[in-house]
Amino acid sequence: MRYPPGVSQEDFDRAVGEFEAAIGADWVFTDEADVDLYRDAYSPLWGEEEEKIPSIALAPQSAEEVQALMRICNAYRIPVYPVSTGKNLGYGGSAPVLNGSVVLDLKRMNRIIEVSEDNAFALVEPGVSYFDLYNYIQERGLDLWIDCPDPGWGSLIGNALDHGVGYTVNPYRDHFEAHCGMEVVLADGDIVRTGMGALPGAETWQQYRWGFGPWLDGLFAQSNFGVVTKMGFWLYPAPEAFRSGTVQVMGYNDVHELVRVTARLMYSGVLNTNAGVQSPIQFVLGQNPEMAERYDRAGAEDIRVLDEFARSIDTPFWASQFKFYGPREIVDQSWEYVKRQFAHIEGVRFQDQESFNFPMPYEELMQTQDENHLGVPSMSVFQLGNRSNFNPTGSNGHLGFSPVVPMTGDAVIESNKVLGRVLREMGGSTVFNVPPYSYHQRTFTILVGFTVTRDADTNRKTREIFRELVKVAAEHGWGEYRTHTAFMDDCAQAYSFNNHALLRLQQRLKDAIDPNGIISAGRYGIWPKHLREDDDNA
Amino acid sequence: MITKRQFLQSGVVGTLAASVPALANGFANGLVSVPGDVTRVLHDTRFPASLALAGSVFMARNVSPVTGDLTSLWRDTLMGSWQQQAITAGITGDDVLFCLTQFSRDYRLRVHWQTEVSPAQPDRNIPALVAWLIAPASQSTNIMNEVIS
Repeated sequence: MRYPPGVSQEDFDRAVGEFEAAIGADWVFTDEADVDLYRDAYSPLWGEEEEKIPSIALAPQSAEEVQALMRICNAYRIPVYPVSTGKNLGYGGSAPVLNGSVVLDLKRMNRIIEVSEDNAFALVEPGVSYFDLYNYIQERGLDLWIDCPDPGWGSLIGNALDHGVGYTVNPYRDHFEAHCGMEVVLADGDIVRTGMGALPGAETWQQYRWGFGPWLDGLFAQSNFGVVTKMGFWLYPAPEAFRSGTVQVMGYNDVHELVRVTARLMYSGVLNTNAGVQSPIQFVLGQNPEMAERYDRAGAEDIRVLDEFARSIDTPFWASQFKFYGPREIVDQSWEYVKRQFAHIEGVRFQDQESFNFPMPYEELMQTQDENHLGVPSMSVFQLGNRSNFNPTGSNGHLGFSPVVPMTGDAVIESNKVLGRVLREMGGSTVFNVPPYSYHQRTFTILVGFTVTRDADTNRKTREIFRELVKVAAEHGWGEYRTHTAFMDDCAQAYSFNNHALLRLQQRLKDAIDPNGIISAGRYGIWPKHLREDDDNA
Repeated sequence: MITKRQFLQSGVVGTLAASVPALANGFANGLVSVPGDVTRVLHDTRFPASLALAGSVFMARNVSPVTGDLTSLWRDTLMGSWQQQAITAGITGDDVLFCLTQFSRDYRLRVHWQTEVSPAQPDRNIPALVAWLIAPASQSTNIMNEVIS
């Protein structure tokens, strides 16, 4: 059996006995072969001394059992790391930030407590996956959609707490934004309900999120202040129809108008889902050193030549795909309206894409361009290659650098150049590079993906490049929205306004709510007092 | 508990067989043995040789096809059988095995053995073909099936 840091063997052995009494010996995993199942399959530290591996794992089945376990951990000051289903691959999986922590595996808590069709919400426990909720809705014929991320095996709660996103419409596609009400077990075993849940017998816990007084839900996302044991989510009443189309513009400088109009349409609510900016010509430029050089320099003469080149090969410089959900008349008219808003851009082209009426048979949904965009969870993101559709061979996972940038044409061009320069100078080869995409309302997120291997030298180089990207992006005012556990300190440190005032406040809250610092030490850069190297911030 | 020897003598096959036909011959000639309690075998439709092998070696058992996307197989078949902690073998792309490895953890199952049958072909976007066995993590912790059932 492995032992956690800062806990004597005698104390830990005694605690294990108490864990077994609290939840049953069958649910206390101490055998290394069992505990190794909690290693991060995508770890960029794999096989190195710094790789994060738990000591043991506990699998409670109720909030009451979580309370009992937290009381034991708090008494012995045992570091504990809650995971929902542990499928947060690319962001640390089920492995803790602090090596040797006890994993609190919540996947046995997999009850779908309530789904309301009329008021379109669900109340679930952490072990409920997107597959589970989808199946529940389908089996009962409820007229509701879920919003899911790419792989459907993850937890609704885990994904929302990590600010995960999906692909349908606002507010459902931002999974934390779509939540309403939580139940949380604190480090001392106390249990609280947020929002209207604080009112005994409340009938609107999943309907009105603010409750009374300060709203605290944000404290429990991307943090380590408590263990969320229930969470409500708003669901999307199944739309009648869907359609998609693409707007293509031909000139380098057309990106500014393309993004400006897109942003206006989003802010006005005409577009209420994700959109991005792709550059169809980029692939061609990559094969043409002279044009690639001109693109990087982008002086007036370079842009003239680039535009001419794009026209000569009849390839748009930029393109955006738009999606519409709702009544048939509205989605059709919305697409027509959107086309009119871009019609003034010289040479603009429009391309109709998919158009569906719902309900559709499951088999047909799985044949569409992307079933996730239609609220259907799947594993198809893994279909085209080993570990991801961008990474067909030879690696052991990926991780993504994902800074948030403004929704402007300038930011599209600038971020592309700045990040590309870092990668070239440091010899980095990325496995995928997703163009600016509005995963969240009102911003673009860039996604630069790296392969993870089982070769320590390669992983070390990747980590070096990743950290440089964090630093350079921050110098330009771009911060990460979410990251792998290996880089949480780096990203948190970048948010440094007023001598890290935000992190200092988070640390003060941590010390107050979890004075023994037992929950998820180091998650999102928040370390408890006894583990902070430089306690000037305490 | 199933050992890798019971499923496949990987040392023999791993060194002698770099191709699916050779692997099949290994099974056929008794160089390797398949555990009797393997209840389901997966073959990957992207690899015709995988089907041939599954057909010739595992004909007495439940054979299920899988494409690169295992969503349907997971929903319709595997989730139910893994709730019963069924032992599963397969000859599939390593992308499929990766997903199954992650899923298997939820049922206290794990990959007890795997070997590469043919390497990946990056230029053709073809993943490596691997043979594998997924079985309960250990007899002593053969309990997670209660989770879902």
